[in-house]
Amino acid sequence: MNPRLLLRLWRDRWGKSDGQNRAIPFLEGQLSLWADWLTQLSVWALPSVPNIVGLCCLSLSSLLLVVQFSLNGQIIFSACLVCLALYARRFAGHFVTLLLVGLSVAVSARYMYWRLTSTLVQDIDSDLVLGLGLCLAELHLWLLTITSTMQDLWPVKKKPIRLPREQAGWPGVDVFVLCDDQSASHIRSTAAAAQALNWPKRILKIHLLDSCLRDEIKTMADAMAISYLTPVDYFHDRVSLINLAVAKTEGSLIAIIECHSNPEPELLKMTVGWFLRETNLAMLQTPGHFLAPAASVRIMPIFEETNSFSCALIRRSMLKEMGGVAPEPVTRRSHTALKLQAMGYSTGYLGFSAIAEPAPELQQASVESRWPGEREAFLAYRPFGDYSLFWKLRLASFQEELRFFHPIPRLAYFLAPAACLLLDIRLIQTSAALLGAYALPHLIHAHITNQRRQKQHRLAALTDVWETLLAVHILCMTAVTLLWTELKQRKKTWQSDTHQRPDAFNWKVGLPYLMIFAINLAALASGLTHLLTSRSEINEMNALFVVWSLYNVMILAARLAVAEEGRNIRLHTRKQMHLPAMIRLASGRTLSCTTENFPELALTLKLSAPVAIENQSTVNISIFHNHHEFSFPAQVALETDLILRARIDGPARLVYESLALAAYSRGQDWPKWLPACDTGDPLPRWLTAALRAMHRKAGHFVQDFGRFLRMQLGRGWMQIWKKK
Amino acid sequence: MSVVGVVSMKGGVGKTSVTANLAAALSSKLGSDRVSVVDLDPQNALHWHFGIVDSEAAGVCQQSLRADDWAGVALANEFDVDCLPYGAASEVDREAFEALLAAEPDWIGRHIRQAGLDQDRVVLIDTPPGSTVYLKQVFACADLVLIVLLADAGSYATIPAMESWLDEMSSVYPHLRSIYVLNQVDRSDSFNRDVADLLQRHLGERLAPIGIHSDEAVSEALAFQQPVLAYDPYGQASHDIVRLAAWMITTLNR
Repeated sequence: MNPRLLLRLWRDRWGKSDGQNRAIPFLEGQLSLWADWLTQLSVWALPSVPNIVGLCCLSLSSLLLVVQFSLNGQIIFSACLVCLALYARRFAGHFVTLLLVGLSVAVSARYMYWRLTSTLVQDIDSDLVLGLGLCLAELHLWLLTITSTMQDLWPVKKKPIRLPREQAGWPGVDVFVLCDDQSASHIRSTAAAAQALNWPKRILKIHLLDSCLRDEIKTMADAMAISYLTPVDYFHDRVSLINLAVAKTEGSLIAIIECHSNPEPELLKMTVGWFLRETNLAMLQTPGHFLAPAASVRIMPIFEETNSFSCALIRRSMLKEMGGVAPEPVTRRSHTALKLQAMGYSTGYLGFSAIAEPAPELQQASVESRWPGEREAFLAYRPFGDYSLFWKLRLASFQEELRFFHPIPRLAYFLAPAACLLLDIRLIQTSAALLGAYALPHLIHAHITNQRRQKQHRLAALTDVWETLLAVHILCMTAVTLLWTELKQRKKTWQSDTHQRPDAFNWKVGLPYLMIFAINLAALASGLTHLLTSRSEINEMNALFVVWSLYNVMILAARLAVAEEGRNIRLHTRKQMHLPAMIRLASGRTLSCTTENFPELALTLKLSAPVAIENQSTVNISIFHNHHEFSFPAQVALETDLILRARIDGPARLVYESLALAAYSRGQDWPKWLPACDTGDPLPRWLTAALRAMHRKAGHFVQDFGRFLRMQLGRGWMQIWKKK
Repeated sequence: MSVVGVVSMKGGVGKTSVTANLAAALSSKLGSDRVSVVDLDPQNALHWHFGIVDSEAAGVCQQSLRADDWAGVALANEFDVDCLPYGAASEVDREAFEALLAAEPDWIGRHIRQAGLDQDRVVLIDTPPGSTVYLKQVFACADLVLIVLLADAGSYATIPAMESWLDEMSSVYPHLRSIYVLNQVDRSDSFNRDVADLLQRHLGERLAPIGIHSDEAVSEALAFQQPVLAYDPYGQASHDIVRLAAWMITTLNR
């Protein structure tokens, strides 16, 4: 049982369709029109009007922050705001997003203010310290949410720039394919995709960068007429590998592609235009997209500004001036970008998907191992002191620092109810009803805003489970890293740990959580017995903490289920296609079959009936794709009665590879195929359907009744008229 | 009842094989007693595909001259297809039959209707190549006409003649649908591939989405007096014919 399965069962139970159908596009309704009208008012052009309006809003919201309501007043007030948010969130547009974010920030700020001013114990004792701790944890999470929201609010949307017509002015490009100890077939398909880049062949050079010399890769590179660069001595990491390659090549642009991804053919045409127009541009990054989007995208950073890169184009001259790719931190790109910016050059980000990547499961491991490293980069490097970065970067660094300490508050949440129920510590000094009236709207708004921001990238519940899962794991690493960095400057190179990637989570990793789980269970049990047995009036706060620890137990149970799950093993980085195919034997007879592992060069075919074929005989293979048939000769050998292995050589290989590229290419509009966004109905469908039906019936009734009344009235008037 | 005519302007395109194999595929898809084939080709070869060797039986030709109905002409076989052979007719009989057909354009259609077949039966008619009296009869009674083509120069050259014939017929029978079917496709042969692409561009929607691949199994099946579906069910030709039959059923139902 894993969370995704749970989620699917839940969707089945409530009649919510699974998969793509559950994506409901945002509406273009009255609210969007109003927003357009409001933003296009001519008033905004007048001097100081925006400032005055901004000041008014600011003072109003600060009023919102400090004003204290009675319990009923607070309930009515927050219910109004929640209703507004629930209504608005269905509509499309940036204005609506801003509105939701504004509501969420205001409600959360109000909650935090109330928490700090009226819920802490007055006397100075251990209760105050612990209560303040919990408060700080909440404040931390609040700041983190605010900063990440601010970061995502105005994504810079840059469009590709057209290249000049004459190819003479186009810069030469060196494509570095980082091999990363991958197998030859993976490297081969990425290299083939790089060769297929739509760029003049005389100025496009492909280089395979490998950490040690491997003969099979060497022969493959020779056969493909591309260069294969390896260091002379062993134990080179990727940084020095790239720097070595930079020294050995001379194209004016460098594109760095990782081996497990597939560049789109139009990658260079879409990006290089920016380098030609902006002479100050040093580095350009593009996001990747997954070949198989899955729920586990949860852990990947959201594809917004400067968050996730799959391909980086760097100008050679500026990279050389900087002294090569930044070697210090574990992450190369964000750090290189920081350094370049500090030197006065600009870096950019193009928001179209230029790279097709394998399913995210494969990358999780590397993301996990990268996480603490990234934090380390910021601690070791201290961008605040060294560089004059502009405010967005400052915000980003601040957020990174906050994220660094994220596991601690998370653990605080898990232990807080236990502290209250088991040790009888009063962490929050208020009534349960008031706490609910303040905290619930805060949580609901946060949820709505998160869903709006994350759209198709994550599932909210899964993110929670996953981040919980990582918290202890990261906490240990964080602590170690923190100490280590303070003690001495580490010289660990980034991403050299490909050999020791953490495996799927196991019980050893899950052990700390088992303890927390046990503590929560104990707290739950003690709280419940207390509630059931105590003859005096029920303590409301205790009930609240019981609910809280119940939630904790649920999340932890899901998390332990994930830890218990088997290891996720993937043999192939690319999705394997089952396409209809045909074999034409030398005798003229044919046999229909299907491909088992389509883009692989060692093609495996599944036959529908046993057939007598001599080993190493040459047959003609046809593969059918979208009503088209591609035919090429191949050497085959029977593996079992029904499995045939084919080897494709010579000119046929070109046909085969172009077919593979065509079958796997997604085009630039790929993200649009994904479910646009999931508004994630909070109510089950039967309920909404019933409500809608009732609404409709009521409308009909009102209409009919109105008509009836009008008729009756009309008749009455007629009679009066006639009498007269 | 649906009547499907299988025609071509040029001989040797595998029309009779396509008729027989399609009939067998339709029968295996629809169930028993649902498919009949009528041979209007004086070569009298269709029944060979179903393993019928009874050459004494009177065929469509003689029976039409002898009596005014086709009772007893249909020969049952193990492939669940009622086969009405042309019959081993003499030259005199053939001329008399053709004169009969020339006199009444809907003669065949009337006889098929009179035979008292079920509402859901599919009747396939095989015809001799070129514009003959038989072709006119087929156009008069068919719901769907399959025009069999090869991806070669000879077939390509006959398309204008076929098109003008279709134009003429569509003015008389506006509801008639005609679809070109490519037979013996072999994309490993570059000339065959180029002509197939040319035909695809030229005919567009009017070319059936499924072509039948060239396959030795088709000719071998005739030697064994079987439809190819029974002889080599896993070959590409069988695969194509089954898909073509499925496509035909949806087309007829539309």
